[in-house]
Amino acid sequence: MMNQGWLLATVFLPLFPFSMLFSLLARRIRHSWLRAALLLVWPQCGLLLLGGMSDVVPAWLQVWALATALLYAFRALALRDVWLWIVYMSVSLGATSWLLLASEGVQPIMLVMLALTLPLVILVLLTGELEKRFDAAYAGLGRGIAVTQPRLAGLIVLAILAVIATPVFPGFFAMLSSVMTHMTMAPLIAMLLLGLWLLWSWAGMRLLSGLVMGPPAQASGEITDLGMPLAMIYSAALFCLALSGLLLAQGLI
Amino acid sequence: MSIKILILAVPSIPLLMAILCQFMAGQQQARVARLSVLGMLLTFAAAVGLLIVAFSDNTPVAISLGHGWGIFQFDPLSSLMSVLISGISLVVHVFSVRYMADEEGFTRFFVLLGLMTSALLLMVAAGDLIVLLIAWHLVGILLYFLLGQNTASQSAQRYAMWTLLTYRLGDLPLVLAAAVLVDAYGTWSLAELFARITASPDVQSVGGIQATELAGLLVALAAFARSAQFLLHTWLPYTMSGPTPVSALMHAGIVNAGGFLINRFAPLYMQTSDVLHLLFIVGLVTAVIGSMLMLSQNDIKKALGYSTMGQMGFMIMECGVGAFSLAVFHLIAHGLFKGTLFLGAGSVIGQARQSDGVPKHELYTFVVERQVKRRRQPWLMMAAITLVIPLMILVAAHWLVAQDYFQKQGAIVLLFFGWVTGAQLIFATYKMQSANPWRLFSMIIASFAIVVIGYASISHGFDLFLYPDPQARDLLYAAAGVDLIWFDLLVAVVTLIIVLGWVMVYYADRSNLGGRLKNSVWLNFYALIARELYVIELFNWFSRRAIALAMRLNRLLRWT
Repeated sequence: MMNQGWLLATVFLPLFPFSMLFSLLARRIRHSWLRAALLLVWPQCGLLLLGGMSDVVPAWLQVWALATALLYAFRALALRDVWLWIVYMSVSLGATSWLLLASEGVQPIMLVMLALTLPLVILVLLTGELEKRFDAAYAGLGRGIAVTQPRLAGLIVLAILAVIATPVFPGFFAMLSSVMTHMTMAPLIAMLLLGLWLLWSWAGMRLLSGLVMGPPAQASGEITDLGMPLAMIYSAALFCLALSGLLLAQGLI
Repeated sequence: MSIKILILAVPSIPLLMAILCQFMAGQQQARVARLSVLGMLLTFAAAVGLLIVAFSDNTPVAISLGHGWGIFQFDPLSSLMSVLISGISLVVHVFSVRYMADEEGFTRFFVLLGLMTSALLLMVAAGDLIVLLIAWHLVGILLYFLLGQNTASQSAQRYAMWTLLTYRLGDLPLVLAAAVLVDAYGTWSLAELFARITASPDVQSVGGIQATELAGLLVALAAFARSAQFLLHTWLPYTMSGPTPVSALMHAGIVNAGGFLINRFAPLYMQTSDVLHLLFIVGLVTAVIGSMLMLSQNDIKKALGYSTMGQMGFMIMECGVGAFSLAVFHLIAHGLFKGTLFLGAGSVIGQARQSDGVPKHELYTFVVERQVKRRRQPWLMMAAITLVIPLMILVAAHWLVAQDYFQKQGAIVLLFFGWVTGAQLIFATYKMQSANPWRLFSMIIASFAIVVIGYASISHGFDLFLYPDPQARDLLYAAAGVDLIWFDLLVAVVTLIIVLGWVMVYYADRSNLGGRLKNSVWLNFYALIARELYVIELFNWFSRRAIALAMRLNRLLRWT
């Protein structure tokens, strides 16, 4: 039976249709730092709710979580609005965390979840920088920033790569661990997890090519790049994330 | 210098140079290029040093940087591949200094090139599954950025994404293979894993399937995507919008990863029974289709792309018959000649603009240029020579190298292909009209004999270097073997088809049947090949439908 704790957790580690609540709330927030806070705090609340419970995640709940993760990753394919893309990926990641709970290699889960959501937070803040410069963060608008704003473009690329679980960021090792765990218990779930990973990559690269690549727009050359000190701070954060990924790899052994 | 330092230095130097180049982004291009080339030179020297050590003592050495993972391995395969990768990368670096001088993102290009070289070297030096997976994934990601170097080009971006998605498709089976192997044998270390597989090959995995069989299949799937096997090949000929040096590196080094991976997992394949047959079939289909598509192209770079596809098919097929070391020799030889062809493609295009290359009519050469009339030999005699001489040369060359060669089924299959290739070569001689046909013919036969003897000797040398244990070699050939009656029957049928085909081709050529054969079936077949079997259209259709469906879902759920 599903108790109230589980039910509430499905709102914070959002499962469809409860995920629509999170999505609705997120879409109303305009300020970058508030968006970042929401992304960081929301899944941690869900994990806190689950923390008191000793039950293992039932199989049907895992299937529900995986279906939600796949649904949102698939829907992210068609998105051009960067914030909406981040929200969908956040839902997909939150739903995947139900499957990570079963993995021994992904512990302590709250810290791991923090490492998984941090790339989204960095991307939100970088999106804020984009909005400052182009009034909107939208793939296809202000194209070609790889040439005109190379520092900002490089950081966006790295952040997106971290979100889509590329090595050596934590997402890679978390997914690897989850696939390892489910391969023996439920091979179908392991295969679907790989499908989810593929969808993340596809969605990420579509966004990236619309946002960073392409011929530079006329006006974008006059817009300044990210300042060096700020770029160094973001780079350091991404470097720390990569290091935390390597630490997570130790959990696999 | 300690061997351990050399092992670590090989993948680390290009990485360090890439990082340094990034920090020098604001400085002169020449400095960045000089630093990058110097780094590659050092890497190549270190790799050659390792190979020299491997020649004198090929006992595997492993260094672990972490607890149970982060293992760097040194063995004949890794040392050989390191020399190939660093050598080709060095040539590509030197070529790029001038080629990329006026391009946007010069520093970025050298940074990416350094990172790619490092990832490739890490892949071949990986001593555990985690490092292998990291390097395997990174190669795909870095290739995406290298192919999309020209950020303003829409087509470069589109095909770079295709490449990435195909590579991701190939990454995922390798993850599953790792999961199966670690679950069954309880270790990430490759050396330990292979020792355990040899000790107990019958461990069961998911669904009661033998772990080696399942993992072997998954590793093969990963290799298929990386080496552009049929249906996973579309990215290869379409990635020509990327810079030429990247094409050279990709065709000479990156696509070979499939052959390397299969060789790396050779101890696993020694314990399989059916997987190598699948490799043979997939490789054969790819080789045939790749070659057909190559012949129908009128764009030199695209034709080279399909040629690589055919060669990769042949390489996978060699693995499928148990000739693993031959596949390594093939990938090295192919890497060198394909890299050269790509780097020279620009000059060929330049020459083609000067001269159309269309041969003059023989009446013109006879009357105006007063050249001797060109002749052909009688078709029946040439048909007989075509069939017999290559076979004689092949059998003699292989008999000289190893007398027991003909007891291996895989070797017979490869001989068979050698025979078909030789026959094709002599047929080409028949088609080429010459003032002195016998001289031309003798020269071609002599070249063929030298190539075959060289090929047989070198491949035998590779066998002894990479798989010094004769039992391991026999196990690989045994794993690729099929029932003797079926094998003999298959060889007889295919030989008959080929002989009939050759005779028909000769007869058609002699009696000018070509015109009559151009019926509607033939033209439709040509149209199908010219449109590249509509595989690209199919994938495009699928991707458009998927995105349209995602869009519809978003609208239906009101973007929440």
